[in-house]
Amino acid sequence: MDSIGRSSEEESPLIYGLEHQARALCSQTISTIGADVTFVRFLVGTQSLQTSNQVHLLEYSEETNNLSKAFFKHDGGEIWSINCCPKNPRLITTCYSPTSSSRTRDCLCSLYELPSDIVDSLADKDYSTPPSLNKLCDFKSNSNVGRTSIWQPEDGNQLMTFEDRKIILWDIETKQSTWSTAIDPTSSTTKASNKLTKITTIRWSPHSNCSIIAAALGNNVYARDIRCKSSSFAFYLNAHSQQVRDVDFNPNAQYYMATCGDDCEYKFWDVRNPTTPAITMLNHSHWVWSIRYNQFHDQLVLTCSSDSRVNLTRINSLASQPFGQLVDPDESDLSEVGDQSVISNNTTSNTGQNKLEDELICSFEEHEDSVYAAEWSASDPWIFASLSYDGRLVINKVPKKEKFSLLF
Amino acid sequence: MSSSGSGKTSREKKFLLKEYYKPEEMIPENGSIDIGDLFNVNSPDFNADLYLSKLLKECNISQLMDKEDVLRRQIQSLDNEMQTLVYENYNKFINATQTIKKMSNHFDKMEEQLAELSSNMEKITVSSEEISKNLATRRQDLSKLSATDGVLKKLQFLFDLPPKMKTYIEEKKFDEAIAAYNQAVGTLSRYSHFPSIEAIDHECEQILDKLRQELYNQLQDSDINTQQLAITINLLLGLKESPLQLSSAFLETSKKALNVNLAELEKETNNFIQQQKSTSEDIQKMDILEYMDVASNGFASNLSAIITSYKEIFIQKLALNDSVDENHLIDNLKTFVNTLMESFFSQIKTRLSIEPFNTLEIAFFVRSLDRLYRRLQALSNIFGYQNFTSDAFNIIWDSSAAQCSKALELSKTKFHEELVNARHAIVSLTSHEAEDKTSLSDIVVSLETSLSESIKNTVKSLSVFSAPDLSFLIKTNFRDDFILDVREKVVASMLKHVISLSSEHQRANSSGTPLLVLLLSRLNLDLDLTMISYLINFTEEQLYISRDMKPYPHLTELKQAAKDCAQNLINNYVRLEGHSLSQMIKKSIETRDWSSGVEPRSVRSVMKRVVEDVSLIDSQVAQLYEEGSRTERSSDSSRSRNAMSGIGLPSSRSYSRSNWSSYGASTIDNSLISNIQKLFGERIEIFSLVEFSKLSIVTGIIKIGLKTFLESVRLCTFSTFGLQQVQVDLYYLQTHLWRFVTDENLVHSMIDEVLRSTINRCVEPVLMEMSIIERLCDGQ
Repeated sequence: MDSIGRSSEEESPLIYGLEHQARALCSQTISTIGADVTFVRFLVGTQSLQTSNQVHLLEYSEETNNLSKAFFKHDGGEIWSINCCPKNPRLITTCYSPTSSSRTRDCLCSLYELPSDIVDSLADKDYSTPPSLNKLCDFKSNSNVGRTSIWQPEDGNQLMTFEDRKIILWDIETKQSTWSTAIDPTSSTTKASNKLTKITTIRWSPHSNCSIIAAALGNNVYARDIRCKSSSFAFYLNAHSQQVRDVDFNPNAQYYMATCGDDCEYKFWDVRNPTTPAITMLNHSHWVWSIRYNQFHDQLVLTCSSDSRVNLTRINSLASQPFGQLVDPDESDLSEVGDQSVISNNTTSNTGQNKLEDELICSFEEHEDSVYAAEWSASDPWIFASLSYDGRLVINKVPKKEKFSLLF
Repeated sequence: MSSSGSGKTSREKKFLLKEYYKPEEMIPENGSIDIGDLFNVNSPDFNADLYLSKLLKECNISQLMDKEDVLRRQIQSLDNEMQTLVYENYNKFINATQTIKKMSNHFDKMEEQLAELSSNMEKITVSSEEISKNLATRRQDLSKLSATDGVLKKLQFLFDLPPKMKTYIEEKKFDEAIAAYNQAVGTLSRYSHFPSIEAIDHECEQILDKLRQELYNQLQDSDINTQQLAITINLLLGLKESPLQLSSAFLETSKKALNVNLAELEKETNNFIQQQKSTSEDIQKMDILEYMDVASNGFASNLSAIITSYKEIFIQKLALNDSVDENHLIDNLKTFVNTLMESFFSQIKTRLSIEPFNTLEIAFFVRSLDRLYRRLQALSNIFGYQNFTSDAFNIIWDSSAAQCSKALELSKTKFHEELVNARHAIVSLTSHEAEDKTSLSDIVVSLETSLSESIKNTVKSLSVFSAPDLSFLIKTNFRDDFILDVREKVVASMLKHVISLSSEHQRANSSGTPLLVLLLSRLNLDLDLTMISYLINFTEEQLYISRDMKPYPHLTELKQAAKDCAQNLINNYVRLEGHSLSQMIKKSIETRDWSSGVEPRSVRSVMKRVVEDVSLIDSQVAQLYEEGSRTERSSDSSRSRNAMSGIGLPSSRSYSRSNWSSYGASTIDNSLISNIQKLFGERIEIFSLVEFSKLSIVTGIIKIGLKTFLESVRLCTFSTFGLQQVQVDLYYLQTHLWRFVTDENLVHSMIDEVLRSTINRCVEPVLMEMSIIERLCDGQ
């Protein structure tokens, strides 16, 4: 299926098929490598109950439009999520379900170390016999571990995991729990939610010395300041009419964040006014599973949904550096035509929801199953990857027109 | 006495006689003697010889004889006549001489008498001279006395003046007092150098001052009526008070009276407001017509009376007087009237603005406006310097617009109430469904009827504003503007309001129940299809829109808005119902531990509940929307549940068989098959536009539910028995849901996908025998 809204001269997306179902995707950070060498790398964890699972390290070369691959056996079980340390590309954590049928836990979280030679380019290497990952430790807690873990975004010296309604911070050096808190909405004045509701996902703000964390719980998002001892929330969003699936903090603007959920909407918030969303977008026709700000140009937001679409949205009005005045009118006209075809193709209407400059740039339709994860490359601001459940990884680029309008 | 004539010749005598008797014939002038005259006996130029010769020539002897005879006879008669004449004249002469003789005798006597008379006269003259000499001294005394008498009388009047004036004033005969003073004032001023006169003058002045004071007091008196006021002012004018000053005093006093009227009006307004606040009915309300009567009879008529008398007193009377600045007086009046009219208008405005819209009393309202307009027209005619009709017209226009907006508000509240009723009806519908007879379609019909009735009633009642007998319709384009206003600001905005109110429910987080959303979508669809055109047409007909007026320009926009709203609402309905279905499925999957459990014995109750809910939704939607069309299937796909169970397999037998049995060996194959299938299948949009038909709506809901099933299953891990339970559930759903959807293949493919995902999520996937599944489903 051709993606709509891009001209024919645009490079075609690179599609890579995994043999197994997969949900876990993350971008590998390679900041320890010399500044002159940067790789666009993604880590994918497979999810298969019947066969052994793997972690794929994929390196994208823009010149050749090729992928170089490295496989690692993941013996623990099917991977729900994979996360890479922001400072050390060799350190990854996975959340996985153990394979054994007589398991005591639904989900575990472990820290692994990748082989040392992965810091160099994968292009020449041959990983025909996948080595196992070197497990460093488990982050065990009392009850079931949540299906995601988050590295401390600045130093990478801490890891955040969650249980049913509890958030735990771990020190990577000591592998010990340093801090924990219960997200208990009934204690606050906010609308009491079901006792059975569990945390869906968590997110760590890169601002304020990485002291703000957010947890999606049911239809709401709760944020805590980890410096604060009391159980009160830093802020609280009654975010969606259905379950909240993902949360992301704007990497450059302290108070802006984005949420997405089962009501097919994704919303943008100024948390200083937590009662109403600043922008609400309705461009998906099913649950929106993930929302990610571009780390370099936070106007660009990536969402993916179980309607098997990946949407790239421009949010100018709530970006750290508003732009758009310099857009060439001819170009914007052309992109508008493209967008209109997307909107007409996309069945839900979003009229009156967004301002002129806040709009869907492009909808990518290379997937044929639900897309559960989409990530920007940590090194190239114009490249992103999305992973659908049938194991298809698609690496796409921001349309050139959009790129130029951002750069010039 | 003189006998001179006797000595003359007969010829001369004859001439004299002729002169005396003045014969008929004029004497012809000499030289031009007619020949005929020579032969005429009577002519003076008669020539006897010629005549004779002529006769001799012409006549025979007998004729001559005859002629001679005639002539002789003539001569004889003439001689006789002459003799008589001479005698008569002679008698006259004798008489005359006798008379003359007598006269001369009388004259002699007269002379004697005259001499006697003259001597007597001389005597009289002497004696009269004597008398006059004697009387002369007396006469001077008398004239002196009579002059003194006159002065004394005048003085008496002056001295009496103060007490007289006092009495007059005591008797309230001010005008006489003033007249008396005005008589004396000349004298007083002339002789003011006499101390006594000056004292009188002074006293009079004092009295007049008092009078003035009293009159001014009267002027200040607020109870004074216009007539009294006019009299007083006239009196003061008689006192030579300054007209300007008086005019302002007059207006000042009048203003008090009018202010009383205004205060009365204000009080009424306040009363009205209070009555509106207090719901108690016992206080007598003054309706708008009464109010307007009070306003026009009180204020307006007083004002016109004042204007009339002002004009009479000051402007007309003093117009001749050069010393008074007429323009100044008129200006005074103008400012006076303007200020008062201003506050009057503001009063009227306040009152009109608080008048509630009432379909029954709107006619009174219009009547009162009409009355106001007429009154002000009359007033303007009286006033003459300024026309208040345009102000009045503005007030009327404003208040009619206010009434329109109030009517709109009223319809809005009515619609809100109806909506609340509809909500209650829906609640009762869902709570005691069995006994309650009202159906959704009834609720929609009643909602639509009440909406159109309320708009129609409003338009009808507002149509009195364009009644032909209203005075303010003449010469203005009020009517056309009003019609446009009603159409745009009442009918269209009411419809817009309904649409916007409905569209509040088109977002997922609205407070409305799904049924209300469904109901509103139907309402908006009907608005688009029929009601908007109908109501706009009705309005135009009811108000007798003129032919050259444009039809409603925003009709298509309005209809489109209603249609969009209906579409959004139905989408939202699908979303809401889909979500509640999803929620049920999600909960049932999330809360169960699928990795452990026993072999399935029956369909899970949740699935039965799902089917029940879907059939309930189906029946509810069927009340409001038509069935819609199904996608054409091949002939072998019989649609009865019996046929399926009878054959033992779903109708799309080969297709299903291959899918249902091929799993288990290799998941790679599975994903391959699923990918291939997807390659050829159409992408299924989950939350998508639905059509306004029952099948499309229910299909949308089922799609959402099944998709949720899929996503939920993918997050779980299943044991063999868990998988088999899902298998049973899915089969149950498949056999029940197909009849609700437009395309049963859609259900099949989605259920297949759920099953495939469940197999993938199963640790040891072993499928249940088809026959056992069927038996379990039948044995529910």
